Amino acid sequence: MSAVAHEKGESGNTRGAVRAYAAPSLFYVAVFVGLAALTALTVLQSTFDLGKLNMLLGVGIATLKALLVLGFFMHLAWDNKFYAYIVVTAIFFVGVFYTYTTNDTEKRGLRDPDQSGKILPATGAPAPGGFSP
Amino acid sequence: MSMEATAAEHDGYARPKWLAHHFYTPAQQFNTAKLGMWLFIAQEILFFGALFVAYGVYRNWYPEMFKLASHQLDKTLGAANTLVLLFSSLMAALAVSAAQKGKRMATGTYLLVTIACACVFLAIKFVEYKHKVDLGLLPGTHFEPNLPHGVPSLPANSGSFFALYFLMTGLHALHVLVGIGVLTWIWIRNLRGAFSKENYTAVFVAALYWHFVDIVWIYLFPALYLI
Repeated sequence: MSAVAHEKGESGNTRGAVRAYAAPSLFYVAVFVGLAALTALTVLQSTFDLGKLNMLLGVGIATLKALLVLGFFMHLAWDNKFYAYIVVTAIFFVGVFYTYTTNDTEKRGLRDPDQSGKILPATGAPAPGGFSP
Repeated sequence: MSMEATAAEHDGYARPKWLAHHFYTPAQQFNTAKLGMWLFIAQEILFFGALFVAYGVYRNWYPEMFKLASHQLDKTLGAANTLVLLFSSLMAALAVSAAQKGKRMATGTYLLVTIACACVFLAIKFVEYKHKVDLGLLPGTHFEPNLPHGVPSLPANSGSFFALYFLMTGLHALHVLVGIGVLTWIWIRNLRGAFSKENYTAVFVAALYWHFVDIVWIYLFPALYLI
């Protein structure tokens, strides 16, 4: 009977009580120290100009910090993986949105060189979008 | 009465009064609330995602302007706010941990510190906003910079950077404001003894929301301040 499955709950507890993992307080403090250290690192990194690496490192460190918060503060590391799939799916669709949008905005000037009097600042080529120079 | 409803009683399980009638067990109620919050967070990722895509498009178009305009933001205040928010997240995680152990006093204290940090964050944000308004660093057509002598002037289209700055940090600040409201509500319910070792769903779910607000700032800080 389906009731039995419900009765057992996700934790397998036959009484259906809530059983969620709780890490020791010191562990959460350690995660915070890690997050603070990564913040210091990203500020430090911003004082050096590493060209294309700047953006990559900024996003990379931020993602590492987000993973720490998601995994431990938000319990995803110990929880049912379904919650993690929800997050990954949302981020995937933001990625699809970004990719298709920039595939348009970055190539407008190449495809329609004669449209309107505006230019792509990166190349100086005519482009329909953007601001007047 | 259905067969399922009687099954719980035959198992010798007494229904606590905080267990809504449409759930079989506390675990089912907990997981349902958690799923609801995660789906809301997924929606929020898409919501903020749209702004980050807009940011990406403009930054790709005007990389030099973004760099110059971003230097008008105060890195120190931004980093301080990051630490304040990270610390508030730690306090929220400890509040959940205390609630899981049924420690009512500790839960209340941690929640209060979380709320206090949120207020400090908004206060710092206010100082930053006031500085930008005073200098005329405003969105779009309102961009009329009035920079002190010796500061290199900004490109005319810098208004689009400040439009994104105010829109993204403003919406984030709105989420912080909502978070203060939600956490205060949870704090009051905790004070009234609404939660226990068996029932801390609301504390857990409110903390999930608060951590998400923290994650948005984790991305906003390098995107706006550290170019």
